[in-house]
Amino acid sequence: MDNSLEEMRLSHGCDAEAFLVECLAWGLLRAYGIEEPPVPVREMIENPLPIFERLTLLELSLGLYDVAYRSCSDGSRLIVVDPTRPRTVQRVGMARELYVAFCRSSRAAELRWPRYEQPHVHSDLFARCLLVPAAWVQQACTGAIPQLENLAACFGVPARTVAHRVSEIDHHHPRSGTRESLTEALFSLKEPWRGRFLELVANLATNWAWGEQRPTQEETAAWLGANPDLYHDVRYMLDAWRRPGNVITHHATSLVQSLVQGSTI
Amino acid sequence: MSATALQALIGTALVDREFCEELLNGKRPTLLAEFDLNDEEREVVLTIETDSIREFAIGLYEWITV
Repeated sequence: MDNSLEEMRLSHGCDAEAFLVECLAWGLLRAYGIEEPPVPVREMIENPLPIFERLTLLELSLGLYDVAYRSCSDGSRLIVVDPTRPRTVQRVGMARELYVAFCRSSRAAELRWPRYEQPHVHSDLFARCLLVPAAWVQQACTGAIPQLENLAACFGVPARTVAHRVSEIDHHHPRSGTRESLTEALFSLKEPWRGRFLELVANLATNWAWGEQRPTQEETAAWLGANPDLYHDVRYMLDAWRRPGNVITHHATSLVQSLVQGSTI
Repeated sequence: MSATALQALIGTALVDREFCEELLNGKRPTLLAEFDLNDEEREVVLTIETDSIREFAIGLYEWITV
């Protein structure tokens, strides 16, 4: 395992690996110019990118597996699909085995891809990321929340796959749960900065009607969740504060200067 | 825009060797025009100095998760 990936795993756990797996899915979607569901995974395999060298799709009733990846002695590689299985099951299986094919590719070796020697660790996650991209689910769920069955039909996957993905997005997506993590980061600051940050956040959230009392963690999280602009301002401000010699945007710099000087923004 | 554009950027570099090399070797500002990054994301992407797509991805992951 590459040192940087090992450090990544140690410091961030599987979330960092999941982030990379999701990046790979987005990279493939972009490479194929796919912008809406259902993702044509069969066509993706039938027209493989250069990184999937010598990959072919074969339809064959296996009896044991819905879909399986096989490498041949001549160097060619197969994704074998059982055509008798339901279409949605085939699609999930093809996406899963496409990830296996990637892990077995020279590109994965070059990248020292996390756990490429154990492709099935992340293959189901990859299939969900590829066929049910988080941003598309969030898009589909704006306004009236669709029925699970309708979402499943829209993405061309079994209902259980969509259910798993929705739950995953709610709990593990890098952009979800950040409201709580940002709140925790604010409350973990040392004084006097914790008090100053919280007072500023409270007053920004209430249009300077809050005063000097300390907001609770729940109140802070609610404000950050309800107001995307506030969330972004606080996030960049905190990022700039924690990494003064690193990445500081002009906007964040002015926010931090306001905080240090105690002036209003 | 959310992290999706950043993930698409990293993902493109993962699946396209030529893009990856150009992203890490001087053509980054030009390549970024193809992605729907906001000003903050663009600034961060341009700030990361590395010749490794892994380290590039780690830098962005850390930035996204604060």
